[in-house]
Amino acid sequence: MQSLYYSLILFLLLTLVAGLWRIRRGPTAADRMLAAQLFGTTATAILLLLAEASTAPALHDVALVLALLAAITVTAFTRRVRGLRSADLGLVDATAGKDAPVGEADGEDSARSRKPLGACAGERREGLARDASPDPASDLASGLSSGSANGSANSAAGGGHAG
Amino acid sequence: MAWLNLLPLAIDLVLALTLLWLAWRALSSPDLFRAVVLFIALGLVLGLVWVRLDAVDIALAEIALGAGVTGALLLAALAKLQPGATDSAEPASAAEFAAALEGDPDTPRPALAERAATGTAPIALGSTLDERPVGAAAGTAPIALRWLIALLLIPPCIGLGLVVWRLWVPAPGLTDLVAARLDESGVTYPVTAVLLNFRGYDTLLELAVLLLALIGVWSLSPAPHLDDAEPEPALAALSRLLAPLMILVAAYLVWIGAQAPGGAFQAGSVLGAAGVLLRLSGWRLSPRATGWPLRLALVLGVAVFAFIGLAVIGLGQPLLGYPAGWAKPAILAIELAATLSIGTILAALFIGGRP
Amino acid sequence: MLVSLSILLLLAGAVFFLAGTLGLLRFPDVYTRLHALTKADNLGLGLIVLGLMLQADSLAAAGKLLFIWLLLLAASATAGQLVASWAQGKGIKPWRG
Repeated sequence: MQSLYYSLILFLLLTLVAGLWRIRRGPTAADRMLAAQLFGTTATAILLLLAEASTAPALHDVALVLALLAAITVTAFTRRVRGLRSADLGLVDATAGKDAPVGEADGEDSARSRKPLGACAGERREGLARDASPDPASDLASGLSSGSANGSANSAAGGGHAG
Repeated sequence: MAWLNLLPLAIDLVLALTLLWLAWRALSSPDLFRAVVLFIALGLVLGLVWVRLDAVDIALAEIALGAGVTGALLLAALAKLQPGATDSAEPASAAEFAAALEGDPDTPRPALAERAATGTAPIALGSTLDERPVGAAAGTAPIALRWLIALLLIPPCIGLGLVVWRLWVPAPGLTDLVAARLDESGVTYPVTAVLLNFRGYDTLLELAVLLLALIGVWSLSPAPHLDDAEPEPALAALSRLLAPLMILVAAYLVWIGAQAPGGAFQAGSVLGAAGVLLRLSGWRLSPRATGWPLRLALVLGVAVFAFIGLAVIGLGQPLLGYPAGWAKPAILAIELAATLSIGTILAALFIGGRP
Repeated sequence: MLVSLSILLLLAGAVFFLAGTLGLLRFPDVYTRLHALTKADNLGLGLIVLGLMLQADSLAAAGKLLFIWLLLLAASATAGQLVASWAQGKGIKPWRG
């Protein structure tokens, strides 16, 4: 059984290496990103097999983290931050941006001179921790879906999905 | 069936060769996007190598960072350096923009290269850019010089190989010392005991270094604006599914860190990746939360750690010496605060500017 | 008996991984390669997970394995959709003929 695991791991490693050729070759950027996605799936399989072969259940956690984060690289690729306008070189006030924020609390902030209106930077974590609201899903759903006609469709889909 | 015993060796060999090949190609690729993708792949293969070397904590951190924050950071930096390369909205035929992708990158402007060089991960990219010539043909050293450098490097390589060969017997290390005092450390996993108890001072300074990196990034510019393009329903649904799960897995990693590979840094990396995912899905933090709540979350890790470390002096202990019986709650409090801080710092590093 | 079923599933999973990588290397354009990658590879992973679940120590461990597979399914499906719509937005024409 042990040797079966190890030979499967070796086999998967070789398919992984073969996939590298597509990174090298792929005529479009999408092909190269695909190959990076290949790494995620194959590495998860290798980790699960290693967990069995060397009886290290901790590797299940490593595979879990990899599976969880597998989509982020591709998302970063397709949703590139297109923010490089003149505002970004630090010389222009960020309020010049027309960015319509997601509908929360921009009204009451217009009186605050300290922060630019509609600031779009920030962190969501302490918002969740601070609210002590036990329902981050609804925070996220409202945050993501407000402000556009697609919002209702999104929240319906999100509600159905998360429900 | 003796060859079956060689299978683990074969696996390690393939991993090592793949690692070397990826590193070489990532450094020598003329196309920056290809280099970034190869670097991300390198991170994942390196995670597998850590697993084979029995360093599961490092593998966790490497995979969490490599698959999450690092990839997104590098791609964001690349998008800023080459805004025209793959970002044009007008449809081009595959051949046209394939040529654009394979072609020479624009000369990186120094200000942008500096901005891309802030933050922990893109430093490699930034320094590579500063030295790399534009295009494949310009600026490479003459053949004779390259051969000379290669010849000069061979003796040190052989010397290093010999030294490693002589060290084949494993060194005693500190494993026995740690195992002897593990009971008093408050946790049952030696790595966590070393990180948060025996060598807690190093961890405190590491957290401070992360915070300093963020301050450096914030001092450069305000955060860039994202376009208001609506995320696709699939991405929105995925982020709604994954973000709560990531928070859950982060909490699980902190908890399990006391007995098994896990801990604050790994959990913080997962939280940072969650922040990256939310940011990419178009989530915005409300402006009122970017004031003191954000700052509080950022400094909480260092603050709690330093506070506990100094408060125990009042109880007659040395700096960071937890009193007997108080080690476990102290470590838990520090780890929770550190996880929150690390996640916030990593996500803020990705966002890339002050709010 | 459980062991032999598990071995069978693991081998089938490996075959599908091979098929996925073969498709990634040989298919003519990005859309078809997406099919190979997201479908065949995840099916291969699912079979491997199933084979490992049969050998799992406890129900919780088996549940964790299943959870990993489901997460990767969701991630791959979304990643495939994102890449395909990105490619279409760039005007990459599907391979014809």
